[in-house]
Amino acid sequence: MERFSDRMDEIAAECVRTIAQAKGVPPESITPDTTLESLALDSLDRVTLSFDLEEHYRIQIPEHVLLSMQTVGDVANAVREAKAKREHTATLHDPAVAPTSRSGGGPENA
Amino acid sequence: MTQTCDVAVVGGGLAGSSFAARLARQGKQVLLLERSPGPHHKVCGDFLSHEALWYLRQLGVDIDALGAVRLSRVRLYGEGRFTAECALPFPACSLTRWQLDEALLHCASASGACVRRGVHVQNVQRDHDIWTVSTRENEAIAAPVLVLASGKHDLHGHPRPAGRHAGLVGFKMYYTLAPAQHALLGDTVEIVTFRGGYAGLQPIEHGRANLCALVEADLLTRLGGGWRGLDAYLRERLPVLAERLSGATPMLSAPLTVARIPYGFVQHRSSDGLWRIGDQAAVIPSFSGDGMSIALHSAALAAGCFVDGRSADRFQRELAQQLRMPMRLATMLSLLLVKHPGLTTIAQVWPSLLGHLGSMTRIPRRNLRASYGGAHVHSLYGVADGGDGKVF
Repeated sequence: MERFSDRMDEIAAECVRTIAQAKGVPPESITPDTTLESLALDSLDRVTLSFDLEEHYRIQIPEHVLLSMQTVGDVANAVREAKAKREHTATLHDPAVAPTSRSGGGPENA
Repeated sequence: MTQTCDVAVVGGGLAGSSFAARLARQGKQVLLLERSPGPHHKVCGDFLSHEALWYLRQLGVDIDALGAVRLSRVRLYGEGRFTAECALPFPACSLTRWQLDEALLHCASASGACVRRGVHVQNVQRDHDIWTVSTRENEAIAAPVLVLASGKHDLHGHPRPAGRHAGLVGFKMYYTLAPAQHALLGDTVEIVTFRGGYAGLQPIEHGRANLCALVEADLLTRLGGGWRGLDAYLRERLPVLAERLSGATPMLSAPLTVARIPYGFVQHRSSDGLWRIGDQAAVIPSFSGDGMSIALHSAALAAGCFVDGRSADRFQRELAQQLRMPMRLATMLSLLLVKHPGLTTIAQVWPSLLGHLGSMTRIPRRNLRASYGGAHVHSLYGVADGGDGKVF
């Protein structure tokens, strides 16, 4: 599904920035299709990269996702999914957010 | 004459050196006291698991340049007979402590820590928030913060409890194997179980091999109490070792030994204000391959906690909590294997169990994170690779 929202571009750009800075290459040389291997990003680098992004976005990227990332685009997707999961979990547990119901009633007392 | 500093660290092994490096990079005045005057061997499996490799890279230690050997497989020999083999589910390397400890001490001093060697700490005392460290060389050091990283050697007056799998004696020997045997060993860690202990064999730098053996004290006594009896026993009773060691040349005139290893010990609190890291904080059974990772992790976590202004007690509790499951699992397995080496046949029907177990004693990534933020050094990726395919 294509969603070319600003938010999505921002995440991809941040991933590119983080990787470029870490590897000491110009960000312009990195595109979403660039493979992590071509940037000499090995499994140890993935751990560090994930920590940088997890701290920046306050998310958690699962281990199996970390291992399966092949391109910069995959990294951005991993961030997007983790963000979406965090936001979804937050609304489920936030007492300030009224549970939706078909009857459309107002917020219940907790 | 009393030397003063912000933080005094007793012991320049993996934990002490890496802690000193991290703190020095944060601008603290660190004094590291190491008793060895130069390179030395240590009783250690020399096995660096994924987390250890990651921490070393963080610190800028280039283990490939030091001759580290990649390890990619593990083989299990229950009672000396081939039982199972599988690929290591994570990257790992083999590197002797002779090389690694020196590299880390160098890293500490290059980071700005004051590293003093040939210094033997005899006594530490706390008085009104200042620790006074006295040495055999008749020196005194005063510091508000004291980190205990003396590894296997307990500081006088601060003994560790016995641990949950005590009574094992450790032996370590280096060999040059016969070429055919070296080829058969390949890039594999071989774990050999037997009634009363277990052994590990793996290749190390420069075409040599490291054999470590852990034996219950009772068995050792029955074998004559020393290496000769044990060596003969291992070769006679364990076919794989008989094979591997035939035509092998020992590289040391005598094995390195250590007794009363408190396997399973974890320091839960700091009621005295000491920061305990490395083996002084926790001793995981050796076959887990996580001893060095835990040492490096404890140092990173301690450095992070310290920089964040947390107390020694808070750090010790957090570390103990993080290590609880890996330690429990490894200790249970250790006790089980030594009593029932035949249990290894389970691995015959489930070879990847080996890999799974190896993974279960690892420090979980979320705990690596806890150590990441506090003393983050951003040259982390920065080991120049020149695109030479150094890929794990």
